[in-house]
Amino acid sequence: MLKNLRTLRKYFRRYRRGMLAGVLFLLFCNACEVAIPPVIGMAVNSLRNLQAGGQLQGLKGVVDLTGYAPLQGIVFLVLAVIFVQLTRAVFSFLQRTFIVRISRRIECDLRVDYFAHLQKLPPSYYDNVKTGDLMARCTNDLLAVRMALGPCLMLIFNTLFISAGALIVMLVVKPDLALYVMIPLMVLPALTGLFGGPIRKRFQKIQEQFGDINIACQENFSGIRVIKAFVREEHERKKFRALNREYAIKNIALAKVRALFRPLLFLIVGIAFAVVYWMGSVKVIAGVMNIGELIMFEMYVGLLIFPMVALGWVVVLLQQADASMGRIKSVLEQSPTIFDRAEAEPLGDVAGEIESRNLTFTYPGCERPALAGVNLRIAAGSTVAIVGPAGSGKSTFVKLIARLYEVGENRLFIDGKDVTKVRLKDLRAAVGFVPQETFLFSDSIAANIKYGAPDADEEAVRRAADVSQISADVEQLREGYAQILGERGISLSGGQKQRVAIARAVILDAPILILDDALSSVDTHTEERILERLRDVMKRRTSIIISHRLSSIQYADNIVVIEDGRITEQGTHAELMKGGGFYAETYKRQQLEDSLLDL
Amino acid sequence: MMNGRGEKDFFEDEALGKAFDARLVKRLLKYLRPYKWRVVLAVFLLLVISNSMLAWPYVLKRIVDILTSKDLTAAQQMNSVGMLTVFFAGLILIRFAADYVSTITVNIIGQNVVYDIRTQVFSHLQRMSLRFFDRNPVGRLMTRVTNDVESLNQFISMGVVTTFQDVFMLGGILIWMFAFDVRLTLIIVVAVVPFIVGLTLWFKAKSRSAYRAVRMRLARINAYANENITGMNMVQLFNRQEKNRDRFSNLSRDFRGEWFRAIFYHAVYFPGIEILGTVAAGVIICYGAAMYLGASISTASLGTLIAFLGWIGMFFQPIRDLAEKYNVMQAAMASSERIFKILDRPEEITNPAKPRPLRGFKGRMEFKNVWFAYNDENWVLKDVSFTVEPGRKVAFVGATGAGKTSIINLICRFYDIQRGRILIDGKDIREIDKYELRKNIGLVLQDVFLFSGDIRGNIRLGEERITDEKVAQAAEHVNAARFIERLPGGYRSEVQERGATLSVGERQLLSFARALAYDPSVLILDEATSNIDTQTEILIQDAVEKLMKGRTSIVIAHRLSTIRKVDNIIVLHKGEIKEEGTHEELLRKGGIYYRLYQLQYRDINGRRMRPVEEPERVAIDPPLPDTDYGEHEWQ
Repeated sequence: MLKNLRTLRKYFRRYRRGMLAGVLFLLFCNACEVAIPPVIGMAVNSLRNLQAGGQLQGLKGVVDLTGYAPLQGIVFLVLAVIFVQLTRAVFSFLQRTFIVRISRRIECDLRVDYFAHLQKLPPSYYDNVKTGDLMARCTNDLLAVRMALGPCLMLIFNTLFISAGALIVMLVVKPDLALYVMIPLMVLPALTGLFGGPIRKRFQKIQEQFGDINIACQENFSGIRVIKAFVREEHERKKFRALNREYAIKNIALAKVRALFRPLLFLIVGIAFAVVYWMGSVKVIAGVMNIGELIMFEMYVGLLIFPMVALGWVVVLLQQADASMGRIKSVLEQSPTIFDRAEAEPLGDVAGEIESRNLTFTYPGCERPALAGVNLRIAAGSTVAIVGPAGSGKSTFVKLIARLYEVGENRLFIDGKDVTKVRLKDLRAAVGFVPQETFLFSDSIAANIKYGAPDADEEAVRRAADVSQISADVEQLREGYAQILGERGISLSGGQKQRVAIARAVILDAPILILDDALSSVDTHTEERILERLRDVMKRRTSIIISHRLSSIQYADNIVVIEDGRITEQGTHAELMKGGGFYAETYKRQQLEDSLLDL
Repeated sequence: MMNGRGEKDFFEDEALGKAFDARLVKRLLKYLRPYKWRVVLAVFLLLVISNSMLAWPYVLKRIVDILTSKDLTAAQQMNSVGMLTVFFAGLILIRFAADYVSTITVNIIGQNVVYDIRTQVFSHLQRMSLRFFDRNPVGRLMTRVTNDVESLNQFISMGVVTTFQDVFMLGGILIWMFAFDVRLTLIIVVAVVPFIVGLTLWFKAKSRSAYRAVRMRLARINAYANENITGMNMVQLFNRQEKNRDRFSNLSRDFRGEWFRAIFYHAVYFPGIEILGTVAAGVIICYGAAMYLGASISTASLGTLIAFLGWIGMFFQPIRDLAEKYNVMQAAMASSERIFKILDRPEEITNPAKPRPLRGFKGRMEFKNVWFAYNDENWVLKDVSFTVEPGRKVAFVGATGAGKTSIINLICRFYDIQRGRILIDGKDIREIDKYELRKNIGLVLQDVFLFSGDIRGNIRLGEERITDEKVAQAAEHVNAARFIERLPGGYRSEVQERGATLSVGERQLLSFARALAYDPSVLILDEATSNIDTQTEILIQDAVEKLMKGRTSIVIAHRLSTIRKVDNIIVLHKGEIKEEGTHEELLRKGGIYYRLYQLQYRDINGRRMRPVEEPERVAIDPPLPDTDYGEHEWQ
């Protein structure tokens, strides 16, 4: 039981002392709480005696108040109660601060560890999981685990200390009454545990229904054109009303359980009080108990309600937390597949020669290989263009160079060194990569450009922006390079984003630059200017450019056509045009397209 | 218990604003009107509950008074205490029943109101024009219908109803206390209550700001994590792991720091309240002592003093609850404001009050100098005029963004034009019933949108008059029956995940069947451009021919086979009609059509550029349907 939560032991160990102190403070705090009812009881007894014209009365064998002057004695008792309460307040403050803070610390540690682990997992892992699932683990699941660390732990000790303390005092004072009172109180945790399941189940059903409503809305709003075209509005309304009605019904089903649960708790608490009132009164009338003790019992019942209810609650919370921890663990236990081998060596200075030898690659879970037997040598300092139909394996090839996916040994070499045997960090630092799908972070433009070179100065940022033809756009912004992008800032057009992404790669000044169809949203004119500037910057460096627009890559030293994972043509523009294959066809076609645009 | 909604809301912007707006509240309360008797019942039951709570200390008082009485014999005491215990038992039973019934009643009211509002909002959205949907992202509209309405539930159950309970409790406590000892009550009200209220208000203000900070920090953490997960490739390519981890760690620590602040307020408030309670108890005890020692301040019995201890203990919860209301009200005001804004939005494409009848619909369509823009003056169609005679088939061709899709949108009156006229059977499109018009048109869109549900439901779209037989006939006619019948569930097969299990070609055929099932007099077809395997392609070509047969048809053609079958081809270029004629005429002309033809319809050496797509891999997320319609992309 609770196997998954045991993983947390190593986190606990870090805060062992603090935790111990917290529990100790909790113990003191609870001791004060348990001490208050007897003191109040004494005060009541003393008042009773004063009322009857008698003496003050202490607690038999504990406090003897016979020597005190009446008023003095009462004041002493009141001050004692207030003193105990103040002490309790201090310890209560301390225990909360210690225990809850530590739970937050562990939560924080766990969250950071989770995040750090995610960073180690390769793209192939992310291809098969949903971001939402990964997010849920560090939000809702972590929340549930935190509940087990803080509140649950606190409640467990709280229940333990208070019930033990109260029970001992009650047993000392009136053992039989103590036992009778405990009977209904013992029902409380059982009741909470009993209702916990159904309440959670019904709550989940509501959540699911809410999800269905969400989906229905999304579907309706996304398909609104079809709905309007076929005049289905009335039908959609009917459908939605049914879903909505079902949601109300499920909510009321939950309300029915809850409506029973809470009043039932009160009822049982009420029974415990009734026991005290009736049996206590009988004892008082019989003269074996005094009013103060009756009041003390009454207060203890009040004191015990919450810890008893909490006990049942704790069980439910712990189960949830364990399940959540299991989900978090399943990610933490994923082993990274792309990492530095023990014998990984530094890459050193890179000239930029890239060679693939009979390179075959299949995406995990796929049957057809994305690349099949690719042999290609890219000379250091040359510019190579890769073209071909979508899905032919162009992107895969360049991704493998950066070792985003794992290739076998002795397949892919940079400067003659096997990419799987050099330090990953060095390899990636040697490659400036502009991916097909531009991803920018919601940070300033400058921060995005110097993403891979955090120490770059303003001048370098501007130069990179200049090369990628984004500088003019940026200077038009009021905030310039400090402008924040993304949800909380401005959104750039697709072409602008691509140009920022190019600047981000250019600033690295890496020996190898890869543009993976990175100019698709840039207009032809700008594309040509960018490539022209790049040619300047990339002198004596290796560039690989994947493009669909053939006019802009004519100048490349070597043009490689990949179709269906194989190299089908290779050569310069002039050579390929003579060949009359894919390249020549596509080139002619694109010329035709361009002529149409000029009309 | 854990609140499932809590975390989700953290992602949303903090909506801050007034906690009370008389105009909004008045309008919200209107939704309670249909349930006014239930509301009355709930309020009455709350009154019962609070009084049964308040009578509790009174029972204790009576017991203590009896036990301390010098005049009663033991038997009499037993008798009286017995009666009181029975009375007490009755009290807790009544409370139990009242609590049970009132909880259910309040929930029924809340759920009904939520149901009413949500249905109304959804229903209203169905009337909104496509322009409205273009401008409002699906996510935002979803939030209105789901979360915003949900927070109104809070308003009903926590805002309206429990306010009564809190007020009843506070008022009740004071009344009971005053009834038994005016002086003691006054002392307590002056000496303790202000501190309770003060401390509670302090706590609420502080913790509210702390929680707001907590939520903001959490939103930041989550946004950062989300971004890093989606952009993990970039993180790894640019060797950013350590830097980002540090940043994340800092964000997490900030978040933790805000929690520490919230913990501090909690750690001060709750013990503080206990101290105040003890001070009150001390006051009561000293008061009693002084009284019994001869100060003639009161004649309260010991029981009364003990009852006071009980009532004081009940003071805290309602005060805390009332302070809590602020948040609930604030959220409700913000949500209701957003909801009412949608409800107050008039229908853009209004139906004429007295539509001209479309009886004997022929399907003559005429555009007269039509100018149209999706926004402002970015003209998508410029001075477009053409006529489609009943029974004729017309094809529109042009490059992407030429304005073809807009023509379709206008014929269906999804948008209203800025200049010119559109006539249907000689009547202005704005003077006829738009629903009537659309019922006469069968629209087949390029991107086939499938609804969750089975194949049959997707053909029938909920129209009950279309029988299963008719569905099957339609499917048979457009060559869809064959693949449908091959599916494991036949017509009952679920269309999973937005049609992920059906190929593009199959979805296309399905949408043909959908159009045919409605047997429209006019067919509008936006042909898909995507690559389809040869076998299905033949089926589609055949189906298109059958669909057009005997119907006035407007086709945005991408297939040579289709173009060959139409009577007239209209060439659109950058929003203007440039050429018009038959296939042969236009080819001979050697203009735009000639080039388009070479580009789109004649496969070069049988090879066609495939549309850009991801490398074939396991489908992870089903693609969301495109909400931008052609024209927007290039504006």
